[in-house]
Amino acid sequence: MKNETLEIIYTRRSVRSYTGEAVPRETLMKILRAGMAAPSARNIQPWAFIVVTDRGKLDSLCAKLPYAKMLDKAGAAIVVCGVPEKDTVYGGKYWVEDCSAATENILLACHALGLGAVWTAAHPNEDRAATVREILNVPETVVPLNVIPIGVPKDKGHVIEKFREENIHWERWQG
Amino acid sequence: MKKGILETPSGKVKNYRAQAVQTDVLMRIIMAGLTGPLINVQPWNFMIVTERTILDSLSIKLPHAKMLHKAKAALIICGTPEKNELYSRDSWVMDYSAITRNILLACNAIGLGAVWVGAYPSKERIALVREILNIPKEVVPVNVIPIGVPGGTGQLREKFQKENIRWERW
Repeated sequence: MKNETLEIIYTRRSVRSYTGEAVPRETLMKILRAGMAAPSARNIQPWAFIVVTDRGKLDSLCAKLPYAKMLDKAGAAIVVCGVPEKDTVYGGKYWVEDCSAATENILLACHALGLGAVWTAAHPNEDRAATVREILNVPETVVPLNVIPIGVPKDKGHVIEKFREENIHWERWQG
Repeated sequence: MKKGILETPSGKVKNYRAQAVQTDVLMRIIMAGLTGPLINVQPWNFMIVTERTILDSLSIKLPHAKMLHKAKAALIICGTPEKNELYSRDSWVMDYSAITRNILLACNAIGLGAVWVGAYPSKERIALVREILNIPKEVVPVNVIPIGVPGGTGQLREKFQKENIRWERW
């Protein structure tokens, strides 16, 4: 069974090294559209996306975030933000799930378009979330979940095999 | 350019035709789940239920899971969020959400219908799933994903909204 979508899922990897080339705006729009296609609880879509292409801002994020040093050569970054106040049904209980699903769509879309990307977490680390808030002027009611550096890959990264047959249980829990 | 994934529709499918889902297909779906970007690789466990009586039991007792009555299989993602406070509160949610997203996309790519039915954080739903599937108390079933051959195509919604995008700053 050859399936292009499955191949994209199987071959996605975190890419942390880029050539420094810019990522065109129309490409970023395609990636954002993929992000917004994610499922959300009751279709509330409690998210917002900040796209950063400005070199000064990318460098500031790079200098102040401990796990986002690859931003120095990234062409862009997408910051996935949770907006819990959009959820008036569940009191903001599911924004982490929903925004994580959107993030995974974004990472897969980058890979499908031949770009490299990596999920660098902000939330739940309060210092990192505060740093992102300050640099990008994000209000207190909005939570930066992560910063996703995106660029033309310089190296390919590597796929980590995480499948373990012993972690699969048929019909009932075994062991 | 590999574009397949950008063109795959992913409407939620909630009714299913009577046709079994093969074992090797279920394995491929779980493999797709585990290629997500995970903070902690372990200890994710996956339960596969295909027995009619167990599927029906879940269908009857679990809210929002009535479609299990016609599903041929259900996948239950189980986590053990005991590592530390931050991980067990939010970071593990990111991990299982990425896993779930990949699983739903893989189902769709294979031509199967599936939908994310949440258990966590509802204590009642977690207890119900634990009881029916004999899951130990330190393990948390986070969701139940009914899987089957689609009876309808589901509904694809266009969710792109320009006002969700901010350029350079909020």
